[in-house]
Amino acid sequence: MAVNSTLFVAIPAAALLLNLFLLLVCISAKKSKLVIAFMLLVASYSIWSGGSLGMRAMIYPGAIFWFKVSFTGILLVPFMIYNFVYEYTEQKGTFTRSLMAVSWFIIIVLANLDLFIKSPAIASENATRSFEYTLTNWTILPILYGVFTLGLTFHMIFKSIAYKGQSLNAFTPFFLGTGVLFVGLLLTVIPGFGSFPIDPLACGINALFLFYALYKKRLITFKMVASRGPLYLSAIIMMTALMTVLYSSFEEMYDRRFPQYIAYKPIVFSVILSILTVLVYNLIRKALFLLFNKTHATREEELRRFSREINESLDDKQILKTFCDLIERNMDCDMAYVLVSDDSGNYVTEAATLPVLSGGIAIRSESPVIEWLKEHNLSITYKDFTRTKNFHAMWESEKSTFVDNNIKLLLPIAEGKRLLALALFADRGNHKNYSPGEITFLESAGAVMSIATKNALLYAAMQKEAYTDTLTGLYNRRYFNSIAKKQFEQAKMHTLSVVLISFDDFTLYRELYGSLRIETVLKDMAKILLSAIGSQGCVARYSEREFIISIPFIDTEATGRIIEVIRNLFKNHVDNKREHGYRHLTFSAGICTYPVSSSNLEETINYAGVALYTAKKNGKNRTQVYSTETSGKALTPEAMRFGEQCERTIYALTAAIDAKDHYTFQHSQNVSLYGAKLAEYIGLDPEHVEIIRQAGLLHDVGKIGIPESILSKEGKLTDEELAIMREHPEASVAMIKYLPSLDYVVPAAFSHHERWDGKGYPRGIAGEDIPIAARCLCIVDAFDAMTTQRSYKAAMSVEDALDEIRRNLGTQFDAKIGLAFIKLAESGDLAIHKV
Amino acid sequence: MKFKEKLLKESPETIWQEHCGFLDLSMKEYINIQKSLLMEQIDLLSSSNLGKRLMKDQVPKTIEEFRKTVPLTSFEDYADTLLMRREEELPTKPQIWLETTWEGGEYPRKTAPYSKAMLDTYTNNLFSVMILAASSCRGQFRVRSRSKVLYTLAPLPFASGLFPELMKNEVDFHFMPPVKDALEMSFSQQMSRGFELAVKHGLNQFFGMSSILYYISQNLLSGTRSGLSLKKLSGMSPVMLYRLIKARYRSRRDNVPILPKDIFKLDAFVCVGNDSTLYKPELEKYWGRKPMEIAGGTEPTLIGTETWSRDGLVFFPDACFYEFIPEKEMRRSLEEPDYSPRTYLMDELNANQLYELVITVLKGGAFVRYRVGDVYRCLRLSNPSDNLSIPQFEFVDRTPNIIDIGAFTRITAREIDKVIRLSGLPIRHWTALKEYDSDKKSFLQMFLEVEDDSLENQSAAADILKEHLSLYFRYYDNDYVSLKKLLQIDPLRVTVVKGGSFEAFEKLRGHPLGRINPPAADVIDFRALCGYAGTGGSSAWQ
Repeated sequence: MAVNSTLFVAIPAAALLLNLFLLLVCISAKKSKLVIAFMLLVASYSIWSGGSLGMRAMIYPGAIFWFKVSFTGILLVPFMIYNFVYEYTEQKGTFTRSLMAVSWFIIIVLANLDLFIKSPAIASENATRSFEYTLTNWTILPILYGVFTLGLTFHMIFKSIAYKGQSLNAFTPFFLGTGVLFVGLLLTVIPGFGSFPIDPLACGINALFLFYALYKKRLITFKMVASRGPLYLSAIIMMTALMTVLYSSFEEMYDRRFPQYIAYKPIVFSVILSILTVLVYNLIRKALFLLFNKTHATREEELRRFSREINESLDDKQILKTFCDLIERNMDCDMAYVLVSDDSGNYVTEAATLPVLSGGIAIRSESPVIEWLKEHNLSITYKDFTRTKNFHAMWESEKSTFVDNNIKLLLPIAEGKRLLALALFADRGNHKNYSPGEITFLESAGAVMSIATKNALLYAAMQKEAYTDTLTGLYNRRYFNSIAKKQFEQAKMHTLSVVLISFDDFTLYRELYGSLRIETVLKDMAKILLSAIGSQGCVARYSEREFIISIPFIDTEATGRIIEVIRNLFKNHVDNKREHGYRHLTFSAGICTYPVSSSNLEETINYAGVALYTAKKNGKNRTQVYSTETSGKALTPEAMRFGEQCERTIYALTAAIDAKDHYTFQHSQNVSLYGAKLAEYIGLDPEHVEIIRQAGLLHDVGKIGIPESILSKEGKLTDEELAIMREHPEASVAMIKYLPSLDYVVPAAFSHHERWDGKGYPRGIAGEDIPIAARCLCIVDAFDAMTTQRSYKAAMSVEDALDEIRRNLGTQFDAKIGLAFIKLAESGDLAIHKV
Repeated sequence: MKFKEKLLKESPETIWQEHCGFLDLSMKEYINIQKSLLMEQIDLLSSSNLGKRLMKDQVPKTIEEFRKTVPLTSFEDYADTLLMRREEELPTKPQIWLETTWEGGEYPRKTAPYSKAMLDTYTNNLFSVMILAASSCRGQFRVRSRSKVLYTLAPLPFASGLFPELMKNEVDFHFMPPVKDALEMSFSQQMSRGFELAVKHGLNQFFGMSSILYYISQNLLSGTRSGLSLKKLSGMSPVMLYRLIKARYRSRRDNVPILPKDIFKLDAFVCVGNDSTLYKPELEKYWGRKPMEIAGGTEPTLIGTETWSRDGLVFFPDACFYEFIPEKEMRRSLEEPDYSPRTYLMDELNANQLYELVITVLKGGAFVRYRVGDVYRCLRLSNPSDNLSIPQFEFVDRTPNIIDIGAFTRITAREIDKVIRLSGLPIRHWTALKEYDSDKKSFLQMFLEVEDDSLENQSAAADILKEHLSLYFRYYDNDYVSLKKLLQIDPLRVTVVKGGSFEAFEKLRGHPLGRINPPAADVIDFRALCGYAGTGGSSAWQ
């Protein structure tokens, strides 16, 4: 067979390169007997293909020399295969091997004395060369001995598979490669293949099989991964081989085309050689880099990006989503789940690369999977996990979860022994295992994520602590306000109901049964509320004995039904626990629904409070819906009694004010009267009117604690005195809040110094955020202060006072209510009292 | 992946780790597995009628609570549900129902449901048995996927019938005779045909009940003594022909019998059943390989196996939750039926003590805190030479209230009483115990005292009673027939003692002699009193 002269040399060169590459990779690995045996085998292939190349490229010292090198390589191969399998199957005893080594050595010596094959005759025709081999009668000897050696080798393999249970799988590429090798050798003796480098081709193909066996089947596990050095060296060798092959052609072409530049030939060649060397070097390096490190490099970049992204976030959900995005971009898997520990310690799906059905996967905290991951903090394939001791303890339902969801790989995201989260990766459809590279990538991502998750969880815990009530675990008042605002924005065009729930005779109950019992009751109530409301709305602890609920997109009637469900649940709970010392305890509830009964969130909450007050006033243990109609109904006998009790308390408090500061007493009386009148005038319901009346009486009760020197000081107050003076609303609330039956006046009393433009005190709230009762009190408080005489100022006329109010409409006062007051005062319906 | 694929594709270390890794468990790890799986079982039981009934409508939250809540049970507690096969009352839907005969109780048979998870566990544990049976030391084994197996097991619905059923899709075992043919044969035909095929084609694995293995081994000796006809030789594999001729030549030359080991080279040799400990040395002598004993049954599934050293059973951690009643407590509970004996867990045992086994079948099984009726000796709590950190056991016998002969038939006081009543004989006192003769064959030894003390009456009573007992057992218990036919055991020996012997014993020891398997010391004293000192066989309880 005639063959192109380049191919004639290129095939052995490629074969040599492949074998050398293998050899160089092994050099970088940690040496063991097995690795050395493998290296010796590859070295024999290299000698074979190297000799073949030298022979065909007619490299110095000549074809005969290289033929002998090549033949030596061929003769070394059977023994080296035997030797490698000997080590691989961990055979014992060295006699046979030593005998084999000695006999092959003798054969090689004899071969070099041309006993088996005469040195080939070289024939050149039409720029192609062929080698003619002359066999001798002894040729059969190395062939038979080779067959014998290989027979022994296969026997060892067979025994190893049969008796030691060694896997055939890893041997398959090795078998195939050896098969190709000997088919190649056989073909060389068939006439017609004389010029084709069939045996080096077989040798090259065999090297590829070995590559495959090493890379995919892990025929040998190298303890140390090869560095890039051998890869570069390999590239240089290839370049040198190419140049060796092409040099004569180049030289001939140069001489023919550029005869005038013959003198520069060495320089030109040197430059070309250098450029080519760099080019080929980089080309090879790039090729190898792409082959082995491309994915690695991309993933490194991805990991850096991932690290940056998650370190910028303290939101655990965002971190999980970023992780899922990373998986989606870089991993070929059908589905990945991230499970995070919930309140009970179980691990539940928090994120996934695709939407999950019915909540995704959940694993109990005592599961052996969790135990294993905590203990080892390593990723593991599910298949490998089934072989661990822990697997014996797996529940069948857990096994089904893994099998049904096709889970192939488990990745812990842990900090020490604390398993923060856990990622599960499903099968990728093609049933391919996750490669070591992919697993390393995932483990790195997991490590990065563990730090971020830990921080996020810590932050979430702190955040939760900040917005939850420690006793009941419900949201606290502050957080409720922000949640309710969001809900209100969402439901602005629809409806939103607010319910205030307050235990009846709470103080008495606590006095009788103690704080511990009260705490238990509050916790139980919180559970009941959560179970009844669920994700429909928001439940919070509003004050010591009050809970608040906001439910968007619901009408009053439906809200009332929910409250009745809660009432029944609570009653049943108390009844069931009676034997454990529970005593009868009831609650009242007030409902207000936007926009039916209120125009904004503040109003809705306030009116729910008013409704609650009405419920209490009407005899407790009931639900009251806020509306002008219902609030206007005649009071029940219980309500009358309740009102009388409150009156007595208010009287006692105002008497205390009178004793301390008569002016303030009189002022409070006035504010109460004006406020009630104004409330009536602007159309508030009787309950609201009553609240404002009472709030007017009590709004300055906090002044009891202010030194008389400040209260009756003539002239301007100093900054410090002013600061003390401004504390009185809070002081008032501090006193009233201990009177549970009067706490409904707190919003009005607390906010009567707030200004419409937000420049007031103590909270600095503005506009309609200020409770309507407080807005009313604010106007009448200012009016009475202006129209009464004090030791340090004369009384202002009513007209001037009204002008002053008019001037401050929209800044200090609510313009609508302010105008209404002016009209009321000007109409003469308001009896003005002057001290 | 099927087991045959594993054998081809996986490394031996991986296979060993997967199936025999439980032998590396520490005691703590073992108990944790047991507890975890019991919690799963409680979970399953709590949603079933049977479970609710047994757990008294409670759902125990801990193992201790479970043991306090659920009383020890016997088959009578399950009979309504299991005999009627009321699947809807069970913790999980059964895939298969197994049966066993049971003359000693209120019902003629016992049935046990097996869920899918139980069968999976059974299969996995069976692989462990196969690997261990083919191992010579830790981690080294040779299992062939195409082994030839002599099939001497009872078919389904008996528990032993599960073996070929579970193996059929996992390995390419060649059962001799083929399972399909065996179903249509009597047990003796099955053994004879199986052995014929084994001699022709060779034998790699041999699984069977110890008593049967022993009988077959002896039978084999007589079988091979006959001449070699051309018919016999036709179809024989060359290897087997060579081995047979070689064995016969050596036998004639040295004038020694042909032993099975001369013909067969076994990879695995597994025995199960009562009296295994007794037969094992004999079997080793015959087969040149010590058989590996396994433990199991219809109700408990496959629960234990010996290891490569064949020196004590290890219980699988995932088959059942095990509790143990110490011998003293067991005897007290047999004497006082209302007494609730105390149980101990695997990590609370003492070495060299006898324990009655109590099981809760895991993975959806029906039996909860069930007294199987098997007594084990805890040989040791750990085995440093085999590097085992978990206890090893030896099967001793059935509980003393049951006399098990050759693992075929089980006789109780209830049955003997019935026979005495039917015989109309004036028996004043009797006692029955299990003993072994010099050939290691077990038999029932009965001592009785008749009302009329004349010599004539004594010998007549012995014969009549023996005849009545034989008749009764032949009629009611099919296994008894097999016992005589297959194992050629004459299982009854009746001895009439002189009048007043039982009273004399009571006077001597301060308590009456137990009726079934009395304690060994009592038997010795009683024999001495009656003038039979030094006679009789040996007893498992001695």
